[in-house]
Amino acid sequence: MARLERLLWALGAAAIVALGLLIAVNVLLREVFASQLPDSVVMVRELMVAAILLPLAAATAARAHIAVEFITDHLSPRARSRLIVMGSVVGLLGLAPLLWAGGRELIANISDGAFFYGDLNLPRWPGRALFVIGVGACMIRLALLIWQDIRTLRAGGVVEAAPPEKAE
Amino acid sequence: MIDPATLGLIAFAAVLVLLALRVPIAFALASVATVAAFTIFATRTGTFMPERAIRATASLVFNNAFELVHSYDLSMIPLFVALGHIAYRAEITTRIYDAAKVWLTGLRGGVAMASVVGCGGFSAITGSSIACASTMGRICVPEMLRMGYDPRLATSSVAAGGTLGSLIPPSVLFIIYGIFTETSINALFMAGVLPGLLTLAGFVLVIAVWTWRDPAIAPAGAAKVSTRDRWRAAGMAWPALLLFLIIVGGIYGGIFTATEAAAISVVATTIIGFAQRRLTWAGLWESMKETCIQTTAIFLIAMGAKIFVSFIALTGVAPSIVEWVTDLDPSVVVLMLAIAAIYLLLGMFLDPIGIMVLTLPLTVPLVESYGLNIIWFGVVVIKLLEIGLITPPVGLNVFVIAGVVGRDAPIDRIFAGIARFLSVDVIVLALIMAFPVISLLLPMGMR
Repeated sequence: MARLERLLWALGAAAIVALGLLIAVNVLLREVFASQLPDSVVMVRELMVAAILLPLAAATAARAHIAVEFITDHLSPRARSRLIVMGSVVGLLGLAPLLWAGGRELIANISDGAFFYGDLNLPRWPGRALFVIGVGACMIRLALLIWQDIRTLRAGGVVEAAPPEKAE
Repeated sequence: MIDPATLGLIAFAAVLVLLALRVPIAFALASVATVAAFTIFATRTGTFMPERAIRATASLVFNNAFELVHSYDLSMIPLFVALGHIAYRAEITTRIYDAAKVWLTGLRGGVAMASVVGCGGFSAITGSSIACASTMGRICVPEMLRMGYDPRLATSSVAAGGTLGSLIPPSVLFIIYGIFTETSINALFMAGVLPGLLTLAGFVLVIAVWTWRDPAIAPAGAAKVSTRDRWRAAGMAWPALLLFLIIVGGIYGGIFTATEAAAISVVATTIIGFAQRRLTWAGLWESMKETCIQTTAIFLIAMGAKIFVSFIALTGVAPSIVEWVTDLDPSVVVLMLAIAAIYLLLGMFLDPIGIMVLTLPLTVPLVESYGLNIIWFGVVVIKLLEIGLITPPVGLNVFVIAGVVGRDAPIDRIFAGIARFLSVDVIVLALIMAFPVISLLLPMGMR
C-alpha cells in the first residue's frame, strides 16, 4: 500500500507540474502568437483531479487532514487516541458515498462514450477514473489506519496526530 | 417529517459536535451533509422512500465534490502553494528579510521590523499565514533571540507578521472565499492589498513605539550600513519584486487572470532558482510533493464544505435566518458588529478555513440582504480570521512559532507580546469596516 501511495503521490506532483506548464505555455502562445493549445482548459481540469485526489491516500497516511484540536488537547492521550480513531471511522463513512457515486458515474461515462465538446473531443472517463482511484486509495488507507490505531490502543499505546504546520 | 430548516440547524449542531470531538473538518462536513441530504430526499413526499433518496444524494455528493476539483480556475491553489515552496527553496523569500534587515539595522528593534517586512514579502509570494509564520519563525526568531531581543518581541512580531499571508495576495483564504461566494478572485486579491499594507505599517509602528518606550526589549541598532550596501541588498531581492509585479501587476493590469499569474510565477521562480543555482531538481521535486499534501488537505475541506453548502441550500435555513434577522431590524453597524463578534469568538477555537466554510452560507446572504459589498465583506472576514490566528487560547500562528522556538519562549510569553499587535489589528479592522474605500479602491481601478 505504501508503494502505491508513493506512486499516486508522485503522479499528483507530476500533474501539478503539467498543469502549471500547460497554463504558462498557453499564456505565452496567446500573447506572442495569438494562438493557444487545443482543449487546454479541459486538460487542466482533468489534471486537477489527478493533482488533488491521487495524493489523498498519502495525505491521510501523513494524518494531514485538518481537525480542531483545542478541546481534545485537554483530554488524556488515550482518550485523544480514541477520538482520532473515531475521526477515521467518520471519514470512511463520509467517503463511501463519494466512491459509490464516482463509480456509478465512471461506468456511465464509459458505457455512454461521453466526451468533452472541443477540438479534441477528449473522453470524460479519465477524470472520473482518477476520482475513483484517489478516493478508493484514501479509503483503503483510512481502513488500514483504523486497524493499526486500534492495535496500538489495545497494546496500551497512544496515536499521534499531525503537527500544526500541516494545516492550511 | 422533519422540517428541512430544523434539519439544517440540527446538521450545523452535529458538525460542531463532531469538530469538537476532533473529527477532521472535511469528514465531519461531508458525512453530516450526506446523511442529512439523504433524510431530506427520502422524506420529501411525506413517506420514507430510501431508493429514490440514494440516487439523489449520490448525485448531490458526487457533483459538488467532482465539480470543485474539476476546475480550471482553482488550479491557482496548488500553483500558489507550489510557488511558496519553490521560492523558499530558491531562497527568494528569505532575500526580502535579508534586504529589510540591511535597511533597518540602524534602528532599535530593526531586525523585528525586518521580520515583519519579510513576512509581508513572503506573503506576497505564498498565500498561507501558517506557512509564513512557520518559515519566517525558523529564520528570524532564533536570530533575534541570539542578538538579545526579548522573547516576547522576537516571537510575537513573527506570529503577527505571519498573519499578513491571509490579506496580501495571493491568499488561499481569499480563493476559498471566492469559491463559496462566487466572487471574482482577482478583485478579492486586489481588495486585500491596501488593508494588508496598512496592517504591515501598523505592525512596524508597534515595534517602533514598543522599543522606544522600553529600550531594554531590543538591542541598540547596529553600525550604519553604507547607501551602496543598502541598494546592493535591495537589489538581491529583485526576484521577489518581480514575482509581486507578475501577480499583482499582471492581475491589476488585466494581463493575466489569477490562475495564469500563478502558473507564470511558478515557471519564473523555477527558472530564476535554477539560473541562480539555488534550486536543484531534488528540491523542486520535494516542493511539488509538499505542495500535493498541503493542497489535498485544503481541497478535501473545500469538497466537504461544498457538499454541506449544497445541503444547506436544500434546507432553506439561510433564508429563514435572513428573515429572522430582518424582522429584528438591526442597523448595519449592529449587524456588522455582531458578525465581527461571532467571527472573533469562533477564531479563538477554530481554524480559518473551518470558520469560513461553516459561516459563509449564513453570513453572505445576510450581508447581501443589506446591500453590502461582498468583496468588502470578504476583506472584513479575512481580517477577522487573521486576528483569530493570534488570539488565545488557540491562535494557530502562536502555536506554530512556539513549536519552532521550543523552550526559549513559552506560549504565555508569546501571547503577552501579541496584545500590542492585536490592538493594531483591531484599529485596522475598524478602519476597513468604516471606510470600505480602503478595500474597494484597487478593485474599482482594475481593467
